[in-house]
Amino acid sequence: MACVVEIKDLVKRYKELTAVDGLSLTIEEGEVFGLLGPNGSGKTTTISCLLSLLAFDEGEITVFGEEMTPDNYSVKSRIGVIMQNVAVADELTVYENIDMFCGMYIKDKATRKQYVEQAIDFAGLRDYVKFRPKKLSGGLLRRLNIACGIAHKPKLIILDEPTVAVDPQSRNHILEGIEQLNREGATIIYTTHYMEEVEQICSRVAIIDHGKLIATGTKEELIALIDHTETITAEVRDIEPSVIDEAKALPHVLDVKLEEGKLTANYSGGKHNLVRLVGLLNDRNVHLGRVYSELPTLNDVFLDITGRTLRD
Amino acid sequence: MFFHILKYELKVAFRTKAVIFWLFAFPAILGTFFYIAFGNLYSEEQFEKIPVALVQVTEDRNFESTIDSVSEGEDGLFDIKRVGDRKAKKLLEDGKVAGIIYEDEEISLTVKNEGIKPTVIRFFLDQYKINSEMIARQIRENPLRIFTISQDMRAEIEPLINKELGSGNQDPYVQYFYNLLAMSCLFGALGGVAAVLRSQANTSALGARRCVAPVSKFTSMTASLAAQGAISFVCNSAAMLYLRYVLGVDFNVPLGMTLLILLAGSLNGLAVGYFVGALCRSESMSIPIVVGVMMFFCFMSGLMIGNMRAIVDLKAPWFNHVNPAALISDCFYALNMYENNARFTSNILILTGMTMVFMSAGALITGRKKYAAL
Repeated sequence: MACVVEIKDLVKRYKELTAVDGLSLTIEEGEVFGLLGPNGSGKTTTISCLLSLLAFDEGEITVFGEEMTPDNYSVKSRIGVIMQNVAVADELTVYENIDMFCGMYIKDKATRKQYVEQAIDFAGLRDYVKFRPKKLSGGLLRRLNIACGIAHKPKLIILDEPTVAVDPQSRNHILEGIEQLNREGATIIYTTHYMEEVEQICSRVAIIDHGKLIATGTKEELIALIDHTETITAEVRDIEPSVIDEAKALPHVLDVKLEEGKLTANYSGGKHNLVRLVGLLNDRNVHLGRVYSELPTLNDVFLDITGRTLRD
Repeated sequence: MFFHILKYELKVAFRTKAVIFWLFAFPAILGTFFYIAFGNLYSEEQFEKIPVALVQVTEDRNFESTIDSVSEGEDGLFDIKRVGDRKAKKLLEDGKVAGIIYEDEEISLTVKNEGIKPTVIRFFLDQYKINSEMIARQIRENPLRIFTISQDMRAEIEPLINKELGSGNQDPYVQYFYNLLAMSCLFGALGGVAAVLRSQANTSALGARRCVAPVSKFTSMTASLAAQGAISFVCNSAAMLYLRYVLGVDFNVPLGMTLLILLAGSLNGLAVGYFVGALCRSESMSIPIVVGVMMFFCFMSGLMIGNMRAIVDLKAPWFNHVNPAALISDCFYALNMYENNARFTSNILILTGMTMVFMSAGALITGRKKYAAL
């Protein structure tokens, strides 16, 4: 597959702060590439450098095989951007907003009209074409924001946290829309905090923190990076500390902890872990409530890699 | 592409209520208040010799000669009563004089009420203050020149006293309407700020979206500025037409020239706003700054205090040549008062020059392709 975006050793400094620190990424054609990272990790700065909005200190960025510069209109015309903040004109209607931005990419009026109509249908805004943005709900506003960014049918779509503060229905509509755009041939770069979104739509993920690339790969490859492969939780009553010690001694157990009546055991692998743990608890006459097993998620990977300390 | 952006920028501007309010409604409403207020002043009786108390604190022979000269004869301007301070105040209190002139190192005036008579006295004193050095020199070199000087000063004041009150076109209050139009033009600065905010990636999300589009910065910015300039000019013209044809204010300036002044003024306001917006980078900073600067210019040109421009002329005459509000209102004044267009031409050229300087400076700042921070 052709490489759509290549970032090499990108460095961006704001005085003493190094926001992006030697970041290198490659994004292939047809991917839905997730860019994950805590607040202030450098995601938006990386995107801004990629779009040639921000000047950077070191590194190279090529898009569609060409150096990305502010004057490279050929490359820019193939990119669609959905900003983190809704970027529409409050004084224009839904139709006018989409037409205004689409018109900056598509000169032919007939083609533009057709594209605008398609974008309206894509975003589910048909009933709102004459509404002004202030009359739209948060979810509809986000969908308008997306329609403005994708109406010109770009080959590379960059979405910077497009589902912030939207209801589950709108979020689902947006995610399905992104998958549809990808099926139609667009390469997607998607930044978000929501792990379930990444798990749902991204074919490859990069986790960045403090401006550095921490890990990259498919969801399965990332999950393989962390130690534990299974977590078993049991709601318990009247458990002796000695039983916990016995549980720790079971095969493949990494650690066991008891918090608020919940016994949680992390495992490094193996089979029949659930049976063995329940057997032990029954033998020791521990009263059991619900017992369930969970496989590690991307969220576990994210927290494991970036740490659990609160960020700004 | 230019026209595509221009079309939508015009739509945005026309639908922005604040733009229509500040550029059309506000000057129209303020103009209506002026009209009502000055209409009462004009209802005073027909002009006659103005009784004035003159209190001599220190003798100023040049001033004495000048005021005596303009007061001579049946058609003299003033009926001078040379009295002491206490007597003068009593006369003013009883309404027997229109004002007290204090002849001191600094000539000053005390009036009880506003009206056409105090305005004529004030106008005369302003004229004297502005020309005092020239008058002193002329009297020193050729005392007989006092007659010519006083004739010239009378000619300046003549329109005030000869007009039919309330129907003339050279009354001092038309200056307030000139200043009002100047203020309206300078409010176009808000459009300049808006053009920057809507086009720059470091000022708004909308600007960022425009910057990632395959459109040159120059095209995008000029389309925004053209739209804002057009809106400003149209709104200012509408306000002017309202004052002229609905209220019946006689600017005594041909319509074509009036529109030309409004165009130059609107573009100047736009340029100042563009420059300030480019410097400040945020709406919360640039709007207060631009409004503050504009109101300062308007204050110094006499929008709030009628003879402010004469005071500035006295203390810092250069400022009237760089104050866009003073230049715009002086364009009207020059066309109204002088048959020769030299003063008007000079004003409009300075105004246009300033516009070009601010536009160029704004373009230099906003012309960068990438930003250091967003």
